[in-house]
Amino acid sequence: MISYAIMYISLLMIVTSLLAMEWRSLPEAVYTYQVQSVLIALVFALYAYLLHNSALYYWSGTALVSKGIIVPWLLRRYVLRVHSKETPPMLTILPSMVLGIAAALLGFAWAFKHHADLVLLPELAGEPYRMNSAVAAAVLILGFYALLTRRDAFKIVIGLCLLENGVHMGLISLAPSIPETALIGVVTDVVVSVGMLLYIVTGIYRSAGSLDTSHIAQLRG
Amino acid sequence: MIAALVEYGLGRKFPAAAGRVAVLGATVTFGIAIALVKAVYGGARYTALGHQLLADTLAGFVALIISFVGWIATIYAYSYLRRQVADGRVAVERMPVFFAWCMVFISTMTAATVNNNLIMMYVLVEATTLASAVLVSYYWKPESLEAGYKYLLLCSVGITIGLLGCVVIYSSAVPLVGGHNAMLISEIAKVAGQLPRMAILMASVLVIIGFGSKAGLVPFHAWLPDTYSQAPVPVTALLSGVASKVAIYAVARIVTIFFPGHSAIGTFAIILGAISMLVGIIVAYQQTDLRRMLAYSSVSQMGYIILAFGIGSYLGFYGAIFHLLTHGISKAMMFLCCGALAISFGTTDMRQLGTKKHSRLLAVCFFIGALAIGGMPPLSGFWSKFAIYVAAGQAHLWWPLGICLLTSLLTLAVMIRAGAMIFLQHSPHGDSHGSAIADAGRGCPPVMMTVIVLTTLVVLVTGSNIGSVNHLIDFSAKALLQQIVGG
Repeated sequence: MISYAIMYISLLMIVTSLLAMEWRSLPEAVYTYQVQSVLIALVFALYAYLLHNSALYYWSGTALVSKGIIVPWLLRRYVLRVHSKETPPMLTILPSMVLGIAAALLGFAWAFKHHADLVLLPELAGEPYRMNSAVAAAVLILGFYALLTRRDAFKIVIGLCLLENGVHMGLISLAPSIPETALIGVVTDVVVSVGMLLYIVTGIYRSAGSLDTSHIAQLRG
Repeated sequence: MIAALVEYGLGRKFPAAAGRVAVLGATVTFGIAIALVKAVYGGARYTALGHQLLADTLAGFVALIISFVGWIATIYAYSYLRRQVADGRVAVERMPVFFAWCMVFISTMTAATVNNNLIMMYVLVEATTLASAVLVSYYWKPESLEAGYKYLLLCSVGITIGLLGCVVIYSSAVPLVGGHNAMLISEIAKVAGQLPRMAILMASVLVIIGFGSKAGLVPFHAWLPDTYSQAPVPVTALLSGVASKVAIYAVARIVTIFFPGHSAIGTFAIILGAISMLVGIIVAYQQTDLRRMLAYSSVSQMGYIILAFGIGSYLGFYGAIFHLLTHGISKAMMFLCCGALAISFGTTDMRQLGTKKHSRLLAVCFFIGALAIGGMPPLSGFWSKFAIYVAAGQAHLWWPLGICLLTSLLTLAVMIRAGAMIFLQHSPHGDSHGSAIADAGRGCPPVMMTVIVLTTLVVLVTGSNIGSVNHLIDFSAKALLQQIVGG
């Protein structure tokens, strides 16, 4: 029963990633990201119950506070200072969704099929880790997809947040015994980096009047 | 860190005095690093906090380089920023912010050198990115903000990939050494040969790519030229001189322990290094802005270091560590020269600088740095590169050796060309086109010039075959080898 719940919640994460990526209204995209983060915290708590691993309750609490509360608060705070509508990306919604779904499915299918090759410990083989690593791969790929295809700097930051969520989820299948202190360090870095990026992005908006990364690219790289 | 807090706190009340606490803090840090090197000289090794911290000769040596460059950059920044305030480029109230973040930046880099925890290595290297991102965007103009945005985004994504690699290594080691010890690089080294092969190969590639993006290796270097050209010069000196070395140090610490059983990892590092060194120097040749030229040159020189580590032999490690020292100090010094030129003439365009009248002392310092990086004997760059050539030859890596030699020649050409464009176009009686006496500029503050001269002297000293420097590098290379064999 718990395993099925984890499975369905995990699949919801792919849906929320797609929605967060495609929603042109930035406040709604932030809200969708927040829902995903809360779902991640819930999944961690369910894993903790299923696997009798109390450390995962700390993971759940850390994820809830950092990604479910602090990061969305930062995102919302800064989105109020810029425009609320995303700069249109390179692709319109339909082709973008199709490509995004295709990329997510590819990642999902590959990780699902090769889970046995990727698993490092015998006790991490099979369900629910298999589903978790496949979903994590899909969320990770959607995060990369957002980074590469979005033109709005704010949406790119949300893409980075999705990518971090994918990595965070993948930790369950790779290393569920990571000490809480290490996890807190990782999550703190994520929160601070997102906060700083948003601060810089707001500065870009104030000086350039736009968050279109194709317009603000004055340097040649 | 203490200096950062005091600097920020005091600076809000007394902004005009900003930087004094930072200079004191940097000096104390340098002193502690010297004491650390004295303690670990000869191959000694110390641990603390349950082996979470580990200081051997390599860690001490890299910490010494970081603290030295941090010290000179802070003193330089003290004068540089005041000139910028006088010119109206920076508000006096923002000076404490600069020095506070500078201290945080230096402290995160030095912490990374004595860190023995795999996951904390990711945390600390990412922390160096976060601390320096504020400094990169310091001028808060569109180009600076764009550079800071690119830097933070690309490095964060890169380091996250590195985290994946670290987690895979940790997970592989848990069954053999237990959950707590699997976090410690020194403990993983003891069982490195027993870890699952495919997992370690994949993890090593992820670590090299992830941390290598922070070091500026091709093709993950897109952020580097923009960042180096837009950040304040003392920050660029820190980024190029030591921050990139911290990332390479992290790669060396984590990945070299797997070399004995996985030659493919070393091969990957060699290939990445060869590509970086060639691409970096070819693109550097095309630049007309001095800072961008030096930035691409840094990409190229990082290629040397990762290639040398990839060879995996004692001499390869020796060459890598020596070049880490050479490049760290020489490149930092050249960026400081660049800052002096910018302060004097308001530009870093080499063609425009060529029409100006320059200080002979600055020209000499610049050329010494340029020739050192170019590998001209008897300067330090020659010896470090020579060690890398011999290591490549001993390992029968003929094509990487060829690329190293070619890149060295190109580097020399690029550096001399830059120096000639800037300093040798103007004649004493007017510019090269015979028009009126060329602009001599506003001159460089004495403090900045003193720092440049001091650093140049250090560049000369490191190349003069001094026993203590050679022994330090020797012990550092042996420390890395000792770690590889699980000692």
